[in-house]
Amino acid sequence: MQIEKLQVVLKPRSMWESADLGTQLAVRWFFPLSVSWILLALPFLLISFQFDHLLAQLVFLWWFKPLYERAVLMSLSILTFDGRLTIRAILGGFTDIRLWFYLTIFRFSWARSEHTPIDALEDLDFNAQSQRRHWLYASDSRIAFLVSLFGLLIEAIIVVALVSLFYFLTQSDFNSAYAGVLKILNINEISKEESVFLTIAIFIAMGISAVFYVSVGFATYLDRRTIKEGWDLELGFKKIINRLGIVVFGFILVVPSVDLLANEYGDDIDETLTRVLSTPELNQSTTIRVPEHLSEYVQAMLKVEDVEPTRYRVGIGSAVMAWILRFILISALVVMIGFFFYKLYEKYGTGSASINKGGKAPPQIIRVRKLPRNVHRTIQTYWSDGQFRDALALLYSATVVYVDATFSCDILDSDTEGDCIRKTKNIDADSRDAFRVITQTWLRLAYGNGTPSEESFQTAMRLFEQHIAPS
Amino acid sequence: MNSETDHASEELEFAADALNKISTSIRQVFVGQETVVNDLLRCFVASGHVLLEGVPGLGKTLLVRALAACFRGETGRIQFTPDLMPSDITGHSIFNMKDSKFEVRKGPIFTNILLADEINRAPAKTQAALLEVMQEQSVSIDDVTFQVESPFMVLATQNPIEQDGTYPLPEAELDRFMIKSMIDYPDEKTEASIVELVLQGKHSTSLNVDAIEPCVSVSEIERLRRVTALVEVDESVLSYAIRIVRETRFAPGINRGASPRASIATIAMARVAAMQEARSYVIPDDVKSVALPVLRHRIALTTDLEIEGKNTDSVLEDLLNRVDAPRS
Repeated sequence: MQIEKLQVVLKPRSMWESADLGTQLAVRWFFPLSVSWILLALPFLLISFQFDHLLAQLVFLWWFKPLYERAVLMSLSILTFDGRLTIRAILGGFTDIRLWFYLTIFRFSWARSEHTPIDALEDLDFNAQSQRRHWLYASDSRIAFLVSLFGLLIEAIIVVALVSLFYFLTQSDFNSAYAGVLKILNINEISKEESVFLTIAIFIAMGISAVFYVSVGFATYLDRRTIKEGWDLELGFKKIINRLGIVVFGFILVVPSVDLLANEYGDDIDETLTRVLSTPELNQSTTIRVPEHLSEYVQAMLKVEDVEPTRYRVGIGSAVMAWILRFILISALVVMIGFFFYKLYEKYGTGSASINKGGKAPPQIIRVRKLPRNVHRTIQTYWSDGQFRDALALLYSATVVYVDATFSCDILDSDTEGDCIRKTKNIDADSRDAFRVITQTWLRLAYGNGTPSEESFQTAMRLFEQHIAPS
Repeated sequence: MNSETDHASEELEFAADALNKISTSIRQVFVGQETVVNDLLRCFVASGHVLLEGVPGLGKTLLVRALAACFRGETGRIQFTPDLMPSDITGHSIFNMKDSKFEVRKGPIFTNILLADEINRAPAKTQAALLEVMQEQSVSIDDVTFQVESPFMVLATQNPIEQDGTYPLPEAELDRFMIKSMIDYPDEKTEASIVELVLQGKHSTSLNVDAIEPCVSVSEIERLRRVTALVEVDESVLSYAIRIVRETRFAPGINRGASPRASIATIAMARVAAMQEARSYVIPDDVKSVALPVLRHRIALTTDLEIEGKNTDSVLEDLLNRVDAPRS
């Protein structure tokens, strides 16, 4: 680790600011970090497909997450310290014995994101690692807990989003898509293909969240070392040394012995130190800035009087992430609502079936029209009142409805008179002939203004009563 | 009133008879392709122009010559090529040294039935030379307008394959074709009949159009066209035709719908269809039977449908299944 080559600015930060820094690191090096994650995780994905049960696949993938995350952490640390990203350097992080502990019951540790950098990046033995954790984090794993929780949430959202996207793109209507989403989320009922898709979706979600999870843990680690070990000061000194190295070297050559000077001017130095230590800059009280609404609680907890309520400042990285997440969620909601209404409009709004990209339209079986209770009498009444067109229109419509219902001819609303005759060619001869006569009578009146004679009308009515719809 | 009705009936019977004769005559040499012959005949009587799409060798030229032979009409044929100029179609004026004045030399467009072969091989400028004559039945050469002889019909062909170096017809010109008919390979039985017919003829390699005796005169063709006006179109049928055309403008999967000219063409074609059956009125079946040839070249499918390999016919068939037929 070459601290002088650090690519980030070290300074004491609050835990939220360090999480913000971690997010920025993840965004900056998302591609190399993702690639390192995929390279290690992909074999596990392929192995997982050997399990028959989906749950076993997912547990297997999930259980070995610390291994894949270790690759991300090593890549991130190399990139942060401006090192050369090589496979050998990445694999160097896998020699740590504690890594394999994470594959046991410690797999359930919430604080893995914070502790892993100590294990992987500091060459310590097992006991020293434990002591260092206690010292560095002082048993405060709040940020680690929140990061783990947030990571889980993000994974769940991405999985649901991918599954929903898949079904909404592949299914023709909303109901099928919605049913598909519900079905795939019920892992006991899904098919083999769907289980493969779900596993891949979870794999993608794990990969995305792992980059952020590790980065935030690493940033927290940097921050803790800065606070506890003064890394920022060390870095500052190292830079000064680098710049003034030659001057200092010359100074050492010119001055025979620093110790000699110290002895000679020892009293003066003591006085100077006492004076410097008593200056206000080194004796100021610590100001705790807490969110306004929490000031009273903090005051009570810490038993201090000088608590300065302040508005909490969100880091720019967190703010951008929050804005992007909000935008994605709102957009997804708007798109889903829009899609829902579009499907509704497509189904009911136009009053007709959709064309479905030129595919064959679903059959639109003739709607059962509202026929009067006594069709025969109503037709006769229309006729005797001189409403010839109404009489024959009712006669023809009733004939179509009865023929369709009796012989299941699948007559559609879009079928013309000729189509109806063609569809009724296989019904019994009497009914077919009756249908033809009624159709011809109707055609002459409807489109040729040829009012049938009384005899023609009565013939049609008789055929209707005898063969189509006995009264 | 009765005399009018009788006259109409007589005229309709004459029309049905004449159409039947023409159809029979054409079928003496042009075997199979009933739909194409029927579409062509209807369009000819409805004073429209036909765009015929089919691979070479299916008898497009023969069909034109057979139709012209039925009424002793003249036929002209222009092979469209990339270097064809508009004046090669319409004609041009040329300076006569002897008389020292310009004289007009009329192009092959001055005929009764013009076969514009592989029309999409010529650039848009040349294709546009047909616009005026197709719409106005007149040709302008050097500021002088000439009327073409009646009956006049353009029968343009295009090849669905070998699209390299072609110029797709502009929408304005496509819209001027009343119908687009698809001529496909004949089935085995029909092909056998064609070969047999060729072998029986004097010419061993082609069908002999000279065998067709003229069955109608030019004046009778004009009379046929007038009779179409006698065919009534009920309001409900008109509404049905318009609803079909309008549906093309709003249907999903269709990028560009048909123009009002399509509605006019549908009714004109449907009238001839009714006339073929000596019927004095149009029924919805007539409209439905002509909808495909009238609309198929007037709509443009969306890109995704084209990528999926959907054709306009299947989209139009679905569309026809969505438009309710009039029943009251």
